[in-house]
Amino acid sequence: MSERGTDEVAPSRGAESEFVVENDDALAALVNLIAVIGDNEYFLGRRVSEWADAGPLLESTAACAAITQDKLGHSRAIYPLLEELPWTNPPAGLQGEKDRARRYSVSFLDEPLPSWSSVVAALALVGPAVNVVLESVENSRYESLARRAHRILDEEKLTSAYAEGLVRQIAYNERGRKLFQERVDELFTEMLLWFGPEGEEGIEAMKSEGLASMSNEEMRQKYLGKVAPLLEECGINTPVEFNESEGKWEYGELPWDEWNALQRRLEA
Amino acid sequence: MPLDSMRPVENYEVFTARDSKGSADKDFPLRHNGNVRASEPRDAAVYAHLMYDEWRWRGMFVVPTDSIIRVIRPE
Repeated sequence: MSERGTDEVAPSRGAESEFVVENDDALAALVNLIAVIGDNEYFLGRRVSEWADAGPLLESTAACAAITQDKLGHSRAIYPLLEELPWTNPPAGLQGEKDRARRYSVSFLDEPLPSWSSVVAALALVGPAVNVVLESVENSRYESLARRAHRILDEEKLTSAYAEGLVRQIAYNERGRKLFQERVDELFTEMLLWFGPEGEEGIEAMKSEGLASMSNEEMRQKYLGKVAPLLEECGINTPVEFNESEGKWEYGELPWDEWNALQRRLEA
Repeated sequence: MPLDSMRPVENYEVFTARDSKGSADKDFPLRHNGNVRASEPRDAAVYAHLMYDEWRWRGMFVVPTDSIIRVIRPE
């Protein structure tokens, strides 16, 4: 019989060397970002799950169930990182939506989605935003996060294709396009705010520590490059325009006074 | 959302093949697995992937039902 202890065979969580970040601003921003990714994955999964028996087609219903499983799985993979980092009293991971009073998810997901057009808007606008942030940490020197981001992004390819199909589907005729336009109008500004103001200290600190690769504005531009052309193609109006000469999306002034930078959400 | 305001859908047949990893058998042949309704082939592929995700398939195909030509009809 082997005399090896169980820690040699299957190291316990405390057995791995602790991940160290010298810069406190970067560490605080990292903890915050993990809570933000976890909560948005959790609430997106939860809200889509409420449509897993009510989609317009059997196929969309089955897809909602599969996406729910993915999103809740992603949140469960992300939340344990909050306890792994050397940070006192991090936000707890959610298993039920009332587990914690403070939410780090977009306000659009606060309540059950009231219509199919809201489900399409959440999948088409919130999902890609989370994916952009995951892309920014996919090569992070915090390997536990980088590995999870890589795996989630791989799984998200199918969900992204599904969400694009839903947008084309709903915008096919005038009635669906009008309903979807209303949801986009509700959500789009919050998603532009979601990436934070240009040069935000925490994100800059994460970049300089090798924890993230994109600045606030780089993430927002990448996001707009993903979602705006599809919306335009489907006849959905947004407050953004591509400036050909500068090669970037312009979106005008954003209402930063309504923005909660800690919870990354619009204030009620 | 009412079905009558949706983009028209058509039926696609889903075919899948498993591999024989872990078994002495040859690869399993392609077989008919079911169907999905979708507005375009790309959506049909996504639905098929999501709905018939029961194995790590070696191959998966969707074919518009209307493209299948019946060769032998039951008497």
